[in-house]
Amino acid sequence: MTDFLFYVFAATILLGALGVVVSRNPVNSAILMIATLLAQAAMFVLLQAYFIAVVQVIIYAGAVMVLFIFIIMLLNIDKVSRKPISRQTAFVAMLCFLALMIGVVYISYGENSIPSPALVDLATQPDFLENNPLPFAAKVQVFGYGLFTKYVLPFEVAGFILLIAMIGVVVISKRYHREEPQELEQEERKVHYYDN
Amino acid sequence: MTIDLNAFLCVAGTLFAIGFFGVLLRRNTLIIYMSLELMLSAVNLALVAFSRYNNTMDGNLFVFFIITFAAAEVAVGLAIIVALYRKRQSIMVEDMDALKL
Repeated sequence: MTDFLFYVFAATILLGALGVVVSRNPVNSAILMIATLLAQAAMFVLLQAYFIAVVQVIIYAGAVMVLFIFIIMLLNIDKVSRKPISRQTAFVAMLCFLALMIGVVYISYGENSIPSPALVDLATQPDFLENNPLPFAAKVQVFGYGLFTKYVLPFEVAGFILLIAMIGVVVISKRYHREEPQELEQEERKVHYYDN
Repeated sequence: MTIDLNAFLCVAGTLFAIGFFGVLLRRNTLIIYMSLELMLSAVNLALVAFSRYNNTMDGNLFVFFIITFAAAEVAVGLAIIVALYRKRQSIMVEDMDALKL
């Protein structure tokens, strides 16, 4: 059953991603992106990372994509020029895509590929164990324990970076007043004054 | 579950390739940005798969941090795109040629 679900979610992820890339309308791209991210959250559930799945749905599929759709709405997309993509660009992009895909398939299933058990064995090597890896558990409690003991410095830095991002967004999107609008406002005020 | 680690890594690698394809192919800044997000989430998938199959929690915690930083990055990036649109009245990359010689 889980095998079947894996194939369903993998197909949703890949087809959705392809749709994001090729669809002409940015709104369609955003909706397909939400589908992709939800399928990915389902994949996380298959991997027993339940907390990450919930975080993915709330932050990625919820907050981030709503922000994207909001910006698409805010910018007037109708004015965007619809010149066709040049052949050279399409050719180079396709070439890079094929090269990456050949690499992925070769590494995963080629002659010299590392089989999955060997990859998992790497985690039992002494070099890896020196870093005291936290044991896996599906409970959120273990997640929080790791966050506040081993990774407490990255956690603090993450909070600080969120603060910096918030301040940065406010500074970037602040509208600096020019001369013309103020004059216009004064003129309007005069008009109102004379009307009264 | 009989699905092995390589299958998950294959899906993640393909997702990364599709995102890269989008970054190269498209000229709409918003769609390029969405493709970048696709590449980031492909890395998330690979990290969670490694974490599960190795029975360690560290990969999951990395993914948590990546999602946090991605949210911050998206907020700043979209603000920059809006500022560029105000200046140039366009979001296509061919109109952003101020650094072109």
